Amino acid sequence: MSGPLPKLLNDAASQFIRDRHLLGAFIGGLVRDSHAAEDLLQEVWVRLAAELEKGTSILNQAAWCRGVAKNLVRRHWEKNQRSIPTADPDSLSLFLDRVEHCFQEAHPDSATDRIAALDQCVDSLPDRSRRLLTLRYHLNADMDSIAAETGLSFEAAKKALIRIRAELMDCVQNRIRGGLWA
Amino acid sequence: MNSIDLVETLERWKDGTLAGADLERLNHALESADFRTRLLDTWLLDHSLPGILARHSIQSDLPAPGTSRRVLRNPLLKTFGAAAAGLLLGLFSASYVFGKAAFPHRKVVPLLNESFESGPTPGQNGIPVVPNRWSGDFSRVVDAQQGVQPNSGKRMLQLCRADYEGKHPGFSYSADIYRIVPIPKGLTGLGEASVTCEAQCSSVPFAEAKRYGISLILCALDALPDSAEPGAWKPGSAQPEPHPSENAELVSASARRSLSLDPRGMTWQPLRLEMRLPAGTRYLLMSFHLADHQAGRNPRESGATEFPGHFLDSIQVNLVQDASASNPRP
Repeated sequence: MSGPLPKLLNDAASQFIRDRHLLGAFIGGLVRDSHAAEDLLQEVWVRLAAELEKGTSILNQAAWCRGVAKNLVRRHWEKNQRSIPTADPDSLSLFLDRVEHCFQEAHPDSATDRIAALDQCVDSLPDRSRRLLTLRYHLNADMDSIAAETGLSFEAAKKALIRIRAELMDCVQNRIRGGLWA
Repeated sequence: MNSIDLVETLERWKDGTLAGADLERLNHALESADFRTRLLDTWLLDHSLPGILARHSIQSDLPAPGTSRRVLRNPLLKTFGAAAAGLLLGLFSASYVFGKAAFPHRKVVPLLNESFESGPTPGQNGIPVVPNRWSGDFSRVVDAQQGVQPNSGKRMLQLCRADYEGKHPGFSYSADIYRIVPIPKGLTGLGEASVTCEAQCSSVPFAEAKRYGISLILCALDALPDSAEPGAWKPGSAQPEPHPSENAELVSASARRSLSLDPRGMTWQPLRLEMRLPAGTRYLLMSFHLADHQAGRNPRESGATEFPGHFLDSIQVNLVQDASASNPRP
């Protein structure tokens, strides 16, 4: 591959990879099905590459991708009405705008710092908590299977996971505020 | 709103159980910069956790570099480790899209494209010992059934019962079907190789949400069992019968993915899994396990669970080879 277009695509790919945590979290938070979320993330790239091939100049790639992702999410919601809460369209639209605002404020480097902090926080978890997280987030086990595997009731397993995630979130915030290696 | 309240609220958002009034409260809370930061943290956490947990799992479970294959004593840990390798790959699966434009060195080799339109009737006598044949518990190839249309073509596979001919007379609540897929020689020796598997799953409607779940398990094998008996897959005599992934002598890597079937039924849900293949892999043992969790919670002395209408179709297995990894380094 040679010439200006491949270089443009390669630069865009590099930035896309750098931004993927934030964009993935944005889509993943809004779309219930993780596979659908992954498909949407890939669709954003396909559209970005197509625009660049057409010669479109994209000044702020992160914002452009988020805008495309937002439209794709909206379309996904329209096709999968059952996957979103029963709410009036205005509230949903406002929610989408406000979430987009959250991610506009974030810098890719801050995501990298947060993920590094999260890595340390996961490392410091008790084995039992890490095992619960592994079952849920790594092995994609459903709550019934987690309850059966751990000997907890369905509700207890669900509450334990919520508590562990809240602890991790607090841990990440404390590490970011106090310096990453605190 | 503290962290637990926030996680609970966002959990309900993801579950689709957040009430309209709660969404308005969420919108109101998002006016606060602090709350916006916390929402971002929560979603970034959810997005990053699988990869971080996979790394932790790999670090703790996989053999150290330079050592030969280690037989892990805890078969579950072994499965975790192998699944981690597959999942790490999945985290960067967006790169498959980039492949068209920026990474032309990826090569995709189709290994199986099954829509049950032709081929031998699935065996009903447990795990197969020969490649290219479906076998396992009682199943049958059917046309459109009870309102469920095949996902592709005119036929699909129905998983009927949680036992097979000659199975020991114990209680079981999981209907299993297996297939051995040969990996062509030389394809896993050069560069990084992985397999991707995608299948479509459907059922008739049922009352209790999350009652039925289906898992896909992939196992990488260097060779097939010596014995021609299906029992050769099973380590020891543990009961209930262990999955072949627990047989560390035969299986060099494994990965698993599960999904809960939609109780509204009648639609097809995709089940996808990727797994990195160790060099020298000659066969892939692919299996689907349909579980009735309600039956599992209320075990009987004996007897196999029957399934009223649960189907598989459009099963595709591809080998993805990254030839660039085989280039000699300066």
